[in-house]
Amino acid sequence: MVVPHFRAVVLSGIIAALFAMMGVATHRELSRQVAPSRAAAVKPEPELKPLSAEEEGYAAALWPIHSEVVEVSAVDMSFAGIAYITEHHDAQRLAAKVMTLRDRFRTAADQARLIPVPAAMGQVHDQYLEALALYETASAEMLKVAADGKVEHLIEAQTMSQRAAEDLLKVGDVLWPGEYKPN
Amino acid sequence: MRNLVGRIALAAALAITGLAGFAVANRAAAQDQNCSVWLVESSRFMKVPMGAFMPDRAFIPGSTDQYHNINTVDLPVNVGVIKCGNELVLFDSGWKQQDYLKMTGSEHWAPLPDQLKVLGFDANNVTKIVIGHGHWDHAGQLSDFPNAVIYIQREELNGIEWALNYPNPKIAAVNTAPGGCRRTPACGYPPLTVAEIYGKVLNGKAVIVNGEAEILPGVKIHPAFRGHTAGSQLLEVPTSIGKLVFGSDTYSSWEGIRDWMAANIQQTDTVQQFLAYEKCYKITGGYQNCICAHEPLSYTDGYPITKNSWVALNGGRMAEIALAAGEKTHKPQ
Repeated sequence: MVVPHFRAVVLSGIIAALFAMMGVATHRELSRQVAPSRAAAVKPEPELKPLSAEEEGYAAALWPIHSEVVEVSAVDMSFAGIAYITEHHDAQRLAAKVMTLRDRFRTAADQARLIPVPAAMGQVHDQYLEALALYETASAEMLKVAADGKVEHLIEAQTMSQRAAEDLLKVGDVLWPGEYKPN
Repeated sequence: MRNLVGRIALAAALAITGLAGFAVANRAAAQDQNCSVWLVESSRFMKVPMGAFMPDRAFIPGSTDQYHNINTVDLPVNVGVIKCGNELVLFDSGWKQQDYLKMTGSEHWAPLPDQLKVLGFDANNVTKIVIGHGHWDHAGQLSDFPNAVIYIQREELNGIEWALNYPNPKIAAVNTAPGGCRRTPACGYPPLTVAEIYGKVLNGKAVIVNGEAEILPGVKIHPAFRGHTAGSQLLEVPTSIGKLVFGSDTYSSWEGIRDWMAANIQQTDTVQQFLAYEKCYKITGGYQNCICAHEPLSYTDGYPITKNSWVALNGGRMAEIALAAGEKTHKPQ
């Protein structure tokens, strides 16, 4: 009785060892194969889709609002927060600055709404206006610091403004491709 | 009594000598701590006109002159990965290519956290990021390193803010024409990049540096103001192969440092760029150990310190530059 049981144990052990060896060998082989194929994989270059003349007109009309008001105000907003945290700690001074920025975002949105929007640009236009609305909401959130001094408002506003900044890039990718060159 | 005083004096002298010796040894040990260093190609800007990169080497069709016979170059965007003891430091953080930020003529981008993983590191373990300057392609992806403290010069922030508020829109911190900066002197800081820097400040993860700073024993920040941007900075790193100096875009071209030529002129005062080159010669004893952000010869024998290289994620390259005692290679075998 003992001998067959012993044989079964030994046999099971040998089979298990063989499976383990196969597993290790397979894993090694796969690892060797995966690394070079990952290294060799190169994502295809994205293709630029040309805009129609009407769409070009829309992009050109929005550009001054975008570059001279919106982008500048967005960066200014971050700097208002940086100055508050690292320099003056004056909530009233922060509020005064942010109120100006909030008005600029509002005016920019009003001006953008006046631009004729080609049918194909409807979604892009809406996305742009949403980004401006988000900046305005972020400004309102920052203004709460003047009331209660809580830095949490700035953190929440920064999250919003970072999302709005990404939305600006999404719009820019369609309207002004290659806006950012190597620096 | 006199004997007792003498013994006390002797004991005190011995104690002071011992303490002084310990302090000297301790300081020497701290200074001698070598770091391991790798270079990671965050992405590659393709087919940039040579003359736009290095004006002194503008392409002349048909020329056989080595300084004028190259039409375009592919520029890597290099990020330094520095391990000193338990500290994991990045020098620059590249940029984050997204479906909405892709049209820059760049290839081989891969997320920096994924590249670090391939190198055997966890993005969560990055403790410090020294930003050579605040341009979008060097100070991106900051949110992907939640535990890292960034180091940026006050002068860099001041420079951005100055350009931001300058009344002539042709001198601006953001792009002034569709298609890029058009060489306007202060641009390259889009809202997303500055928002990420601000996020670090808000979360108590930013050190605003004023000039020189030693962030770890022997790991020193040197200002290179106007070497590329208003508040550019260098990073000196002690290694087993001598001191290295990382220069971000102040050191855009290693050949530029070797041959004393200006490169990648943005807000650059070329005198300051040359003084920064000289700094590398003085610190490292030559030009071989100057680590450049966009040297086209990177990862080849042409730029010897980076030649121990391999191809990693999405075709981007990596190089193992120096290993500290006890650090095993991270190069795939």
